[in-house]
Amino acid sequence: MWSSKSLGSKYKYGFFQLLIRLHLIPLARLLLFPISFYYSLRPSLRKRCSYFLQHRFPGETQLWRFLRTSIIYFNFAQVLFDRLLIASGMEVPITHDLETLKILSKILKNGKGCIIVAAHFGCWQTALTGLELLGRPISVIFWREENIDQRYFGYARKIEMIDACQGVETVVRIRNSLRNNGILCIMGDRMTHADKKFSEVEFLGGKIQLPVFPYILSELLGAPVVHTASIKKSGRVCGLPAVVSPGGEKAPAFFAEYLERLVTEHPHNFYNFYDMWERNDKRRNT
Amino acid sequence: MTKEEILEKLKGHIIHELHRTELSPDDIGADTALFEEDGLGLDSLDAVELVMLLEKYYGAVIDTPEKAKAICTNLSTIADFVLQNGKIGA
Repeated sequence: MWSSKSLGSKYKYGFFQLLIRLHLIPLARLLLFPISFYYSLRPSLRKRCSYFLQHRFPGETQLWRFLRTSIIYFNFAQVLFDRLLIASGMEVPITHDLETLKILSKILKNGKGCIIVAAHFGCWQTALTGLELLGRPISVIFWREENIDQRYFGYARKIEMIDACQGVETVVRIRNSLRNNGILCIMGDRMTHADKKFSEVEFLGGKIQLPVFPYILSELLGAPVVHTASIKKSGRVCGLPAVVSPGGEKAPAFFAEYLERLVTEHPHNFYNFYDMWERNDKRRNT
Repeated sequence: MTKEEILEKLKGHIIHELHRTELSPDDIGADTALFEEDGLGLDSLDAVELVMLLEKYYGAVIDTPEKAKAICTNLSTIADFVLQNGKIGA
């Protein structure tokens, strides 16, 4: 199971916040190169990236793995910096995928809201700001363990941040959000301690566990599930085509297939730095 | 409908709709904590189903998150809420 150990300490965030306040954004972006490279040099952090790379590129040499780790950490550093920019009230240029906006508009016409199940892939948080175009309230479910600046991100954009660990309070907030024909965003690629029910699905040649919470929520509240993603290209956040989940029991496997297509096409934009396959491998060996 | 009748119905909902078929009605006390590990240990998905079934069967809508925790402490607090706010026959 994923446990939160942020890659960036609060001191580093503070340093970058200072650079933003001083309008030294180009310098800050330049500094992301050596800092992310330093992360790639640390064996413990290379290991955290290796779980995914071993499954995505099995049999690759250590040199290739190191290069890919460096690229992934650099991309991730950009994602965190963009989030910090937005939390500081600045804009990050976004190119929307028009088909995605059409899909979401059509779903929202039914008045039952929409659940976006996303992954720790690409610019997932920055892309949320693009949903503001739809003119509906946006809420994001977050887990308490997640970095606190995520909440500041929400405050800066008037996005309601719903703490997943508040039991029935959480449920009522979720229901109210969807009844208000809102867009509810959930990260669907990590099991947390709040997820007791899961589905075991194939992902990159192994079995992983995905939470079923979003899909059951969808069934109970009648809000369709859509999967969206975005990546950074030439300094812009670019939306990728969304897909509508079939819902029901097939939904987790459908999401895993969608995720696999994303990481096949964009392998350096996947940010799950832990062994997603571990629990299952251990179970099989015991 | 009396509070005792509502309590019995709620126990049935927990067993059948929240899929806690290992329990019998006698295992669920009116004061048993619903979401505590030393109580029934219901999880977030159970919470969604519970909130929705209160609306479906009793027309009792928990409108604000602030009230939710106090209402859903145990079956007794839920039954009180249903009696005061539900649309049920007398």
